[in-house]
Amino acid sequence: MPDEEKSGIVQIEINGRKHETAQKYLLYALEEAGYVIPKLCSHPDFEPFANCRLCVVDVNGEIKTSCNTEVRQGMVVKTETENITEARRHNMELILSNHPLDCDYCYRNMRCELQALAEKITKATRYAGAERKIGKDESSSAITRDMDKCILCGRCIAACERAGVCLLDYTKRGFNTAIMPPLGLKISDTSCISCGQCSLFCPAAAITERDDRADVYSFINDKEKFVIAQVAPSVRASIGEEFGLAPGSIATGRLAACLKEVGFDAVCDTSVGADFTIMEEAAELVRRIKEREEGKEVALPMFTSCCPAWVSFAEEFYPELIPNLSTTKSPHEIMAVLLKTYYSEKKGIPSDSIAVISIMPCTAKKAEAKRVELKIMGTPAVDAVLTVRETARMIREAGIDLKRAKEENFDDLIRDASGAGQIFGATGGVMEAVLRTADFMLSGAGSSCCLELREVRGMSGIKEAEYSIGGKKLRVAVANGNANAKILIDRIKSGEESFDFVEIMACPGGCSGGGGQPIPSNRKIIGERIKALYLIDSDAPVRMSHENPIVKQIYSEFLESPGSGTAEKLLHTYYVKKKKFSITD
Amino acid sequence: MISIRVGLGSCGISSGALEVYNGLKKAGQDISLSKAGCMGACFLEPLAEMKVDNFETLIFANVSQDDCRRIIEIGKSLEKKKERGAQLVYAKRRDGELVFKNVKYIDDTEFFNEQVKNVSAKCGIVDPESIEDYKRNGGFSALKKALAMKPEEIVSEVKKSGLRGRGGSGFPTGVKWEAVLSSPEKEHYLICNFDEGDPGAFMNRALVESDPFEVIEGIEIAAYALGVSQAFIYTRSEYTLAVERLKNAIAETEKSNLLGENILGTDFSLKISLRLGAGAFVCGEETALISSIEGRSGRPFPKPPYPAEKGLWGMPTVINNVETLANIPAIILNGADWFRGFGTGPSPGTKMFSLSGDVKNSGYIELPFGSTLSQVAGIAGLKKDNFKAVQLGGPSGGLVSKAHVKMPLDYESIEGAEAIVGSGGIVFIGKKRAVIDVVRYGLRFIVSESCGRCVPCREGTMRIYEIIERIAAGNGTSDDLLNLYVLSNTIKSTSLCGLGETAPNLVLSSIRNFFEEYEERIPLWKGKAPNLISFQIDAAKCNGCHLCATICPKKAISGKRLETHEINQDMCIRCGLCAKECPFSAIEEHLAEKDQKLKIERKGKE
Repeated sequence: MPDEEKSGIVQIEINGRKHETAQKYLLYALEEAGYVIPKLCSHPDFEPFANCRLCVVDVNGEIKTSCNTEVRQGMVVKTETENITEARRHNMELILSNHPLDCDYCYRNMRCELQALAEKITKATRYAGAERKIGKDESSSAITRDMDKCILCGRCIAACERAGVCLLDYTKRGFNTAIMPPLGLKISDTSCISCGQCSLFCPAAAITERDDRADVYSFINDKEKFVIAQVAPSVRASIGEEFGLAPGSIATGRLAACLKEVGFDAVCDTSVGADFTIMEEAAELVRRIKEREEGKEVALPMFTSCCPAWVSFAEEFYPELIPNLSTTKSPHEIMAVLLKTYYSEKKGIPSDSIAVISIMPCTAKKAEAKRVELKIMGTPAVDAVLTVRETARMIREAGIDLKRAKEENFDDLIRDASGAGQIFGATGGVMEAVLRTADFMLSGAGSSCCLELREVRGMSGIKEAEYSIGGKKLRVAVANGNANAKILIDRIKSGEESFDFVEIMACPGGCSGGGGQPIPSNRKIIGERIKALYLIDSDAPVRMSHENPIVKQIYSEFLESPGSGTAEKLLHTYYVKKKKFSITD
Repeated sequence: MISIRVGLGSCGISSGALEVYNGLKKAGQDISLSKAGCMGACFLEPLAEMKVDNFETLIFANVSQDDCRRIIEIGKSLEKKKERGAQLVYAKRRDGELVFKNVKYIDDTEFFNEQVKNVSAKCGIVDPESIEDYKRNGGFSALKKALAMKPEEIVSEVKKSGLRGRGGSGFPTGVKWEAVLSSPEKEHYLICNFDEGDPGAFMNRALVESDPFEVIEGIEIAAYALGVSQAFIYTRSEYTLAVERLKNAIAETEKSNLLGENILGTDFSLKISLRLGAGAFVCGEETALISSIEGRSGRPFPKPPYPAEKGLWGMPTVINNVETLANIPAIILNGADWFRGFGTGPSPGTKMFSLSGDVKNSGYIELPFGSTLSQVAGIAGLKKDNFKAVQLGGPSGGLVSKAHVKMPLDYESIEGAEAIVGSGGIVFIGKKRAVIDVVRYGLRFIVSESCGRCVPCREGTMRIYEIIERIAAGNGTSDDLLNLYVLSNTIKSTSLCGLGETAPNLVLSSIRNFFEEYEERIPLWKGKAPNLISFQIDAAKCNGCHLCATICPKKAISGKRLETHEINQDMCIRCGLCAKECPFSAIEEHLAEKDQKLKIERKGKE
């Protein structure tokens, strides 16, 4: 298509009405005009797959799938004709004829795209016969795949490609086609990084997060246990969507109240953990930069390490970058350590009776929590991880409507994170937060020049900037979505570019677009969530981690200083090169 | 001097031609022995063609290893001008004197007399492994002529010739070429589609096995016209002999500076690479083929963008069938008008078909477009009506009945009969076979060869297969027939690629042309004597929605929209589908004897 046409506005006729649109694909032009077109595979974040054949419309007298039909000047479109209704009904019936109709017990009952659409288009299927039976893969600690429920829309393939792993693709052919990892391996045997992007886009219940609710309930029901929930920064800006609030609604206080209702003994803020991550990571960055100036050989650029999916990705695909990864633990792990040491001491609760449950926008954190390197006192620091979706489910199960809940505060001992700690949930947030503190550490005095770093904000895949931090010029880069990370790293490795500090988040948009976030998720919704996080930051009384009183207090009472022996022991970790999966075993 | 050529196509080799070749080598040291491809008459294989002193040509058919000595003896006796009868002699070419009485010219046999050999002219005559032999037979003169022409002239000549894609869709080749030439991208690719996947089609394989240099020459001319410097031939790894001969042909051509850098001293350079697929039916589809060449699994992607805009590695790509490209040298050499002299106006030229099924003479044939099915039946050695059905265009083609014997074989007429030319497979179905079984077999193929991406093709073909299985087993109901019909239409109208769109053709054409076979198998119909019941439309209730007319499998209902419809009782087969589907319950079943109206429950439309 010529460029001027692409950017230009064209007139089309929809059901006899004129409509002007600048959309590329007809489906989105129709949605823009207010029509609801059934679809199961097309997703605004991806190029059209045109697999489900439900979005058919009449274009100039021909039946066409609107998702991949490009808008042309003068198109005459009808969205509902007898033929089209019939074709949609048929295709829906065909999908249902090969889908276990166990909706009542299904994990996604009432929150399933397929179910909602089936209800609209048809009542029952005329066709019965052979069914694909592939079975469940529950090997991963992050996601569960029930391939009997897969409708082969192809979104997970595109999501996995965007996550840089390219693990999934169509395998076999004809009726037996299945979306599988290579050689039909179990997920745990593959290079899956647990980011859960696939589960975020699945229109049915074929890929879901691993359901850890039962574990959490058993902690809650155990009278001996003091169960603490900690809430990740981005969760407060997204969980409302599960209860019908608009994307970007901030529900911090209401969430804390709901979690108390569910039965948690205390609710803490992971953003405080993030503040410590910032302190440690900034100290590490400053140390590495100083060491380089002294002529020592140091691994630079330094890469952030708070995204466990990125860490797995690096261990799997770029093991040579392991020395470059910051050794600082991710915020919820730091928080868990503080809860099981400092908090336990202060409150007089024995650490082995504390259970820490992380409420995360992420499925990779489920896998991270099980890492042996992150154990303290012989047990995992974090006892269980819940995604936003599971948490919302538990709140609903407790019979509470978050929308109408009264606001409550986080636990009073460790509370009130800085603004910096809360923008962790957005792409570029870690970068911005760390530079705020690194600036202070390098110059010895806070300057406001580093308060808002607009260049690293926003949803573009790779962002680059140069800042003067404490009088030193630093070149930084931010990538979100591992596919973009790949591009950036390859540029760094080829020597085309050099940076001092790089932030990478495996999911597009950072944690706001995480694999454990509410469904639906798309660029627009993620943008709203990010906006909310920056709003929280700009309203926060303290915006820099090093100025946060609780951070100062814990350092002075317990951890000494960033990078000290205690801090190093408790707040830092190490990484191991992953064995590539081999075909022989 | 005796020279003997042995047909060494796959057909020949599989029936023992290699043994014959070796036997002849052993039996006669002083003869000149050479290889040839297949001339089409696969049922005569192994074939040995003997030339004596450059004028006497004898063709020995169905030769076995034991006959070698005898053949050479005959040759020697001819050399000495001593006439002797020969049991094994089958036929003789016109270029020699008649030596034996009662021996037919091969051109006069029922198999050859109506054929027009343009593309396959050199098949079975030239040695497919020798570039010299190809050149002796006029090879590469078209390339030399083309290199002296401007690329635009070639494209316009091809456009003028009206050559249409031989792979199935029949898209005008010249138009396709123009689209790529007009693209702003500088780098283009040419792909020769030699992924012949339909069961019952083997003429492309025979062509490449017998005359690979013609294909190479065609590719080179097309590449020169399109400004392509890298061309691909995509084929399936199970075509081992064809692959071997192509590899050899590419190497030989490169050696003679007819391929590679600066061909024949001009600025034109071309590299031809061979790409082997694993033999998936769907890889014959353009976009799936591109995926396969790019190293991904061979599945189609949605069009647009068409390959001509964005094809291989995102570059404008022309994909032409191997037979299409083999037509190019002759068009360049003889001109568009010569080409238009064959075939019909909209479908000029000749087409290779492969004949198989319940026939006497199997093999590939070449006929001008517009030849009739009865001609083909004659070539196949069938008496005029000694068959029940003909499957045209493979499993995605359709079944036509004897009623179509007068139908000219060209793109338009065949499509009118709910079949497709496809790549050119013609399978005759004998009288003893059940059409439903043929449909079932074809569908089984489609079900397992669908790429599995889009819903109608993946799930739908399985469902129609299951329905057909039920009907074939005698467990079908009239509901099954209705579902079969409407579902097939949905698959046709909503599938992602051409293969999905044509997947239900077998079903639709068999319902249209062999409805009685379905009637026989569906128990509900049994016992409903046509004169006992009739269906009538109640004029007071009919709203003219036209639904009944649309679903009637025999097109027995007529009427304009919004007007009262009528059932033609002579055409009606009393299936009752219309009565079941009528939204206004306007169609009633009448029992003739008692004139009793039976209420028919309407189902399933809520």
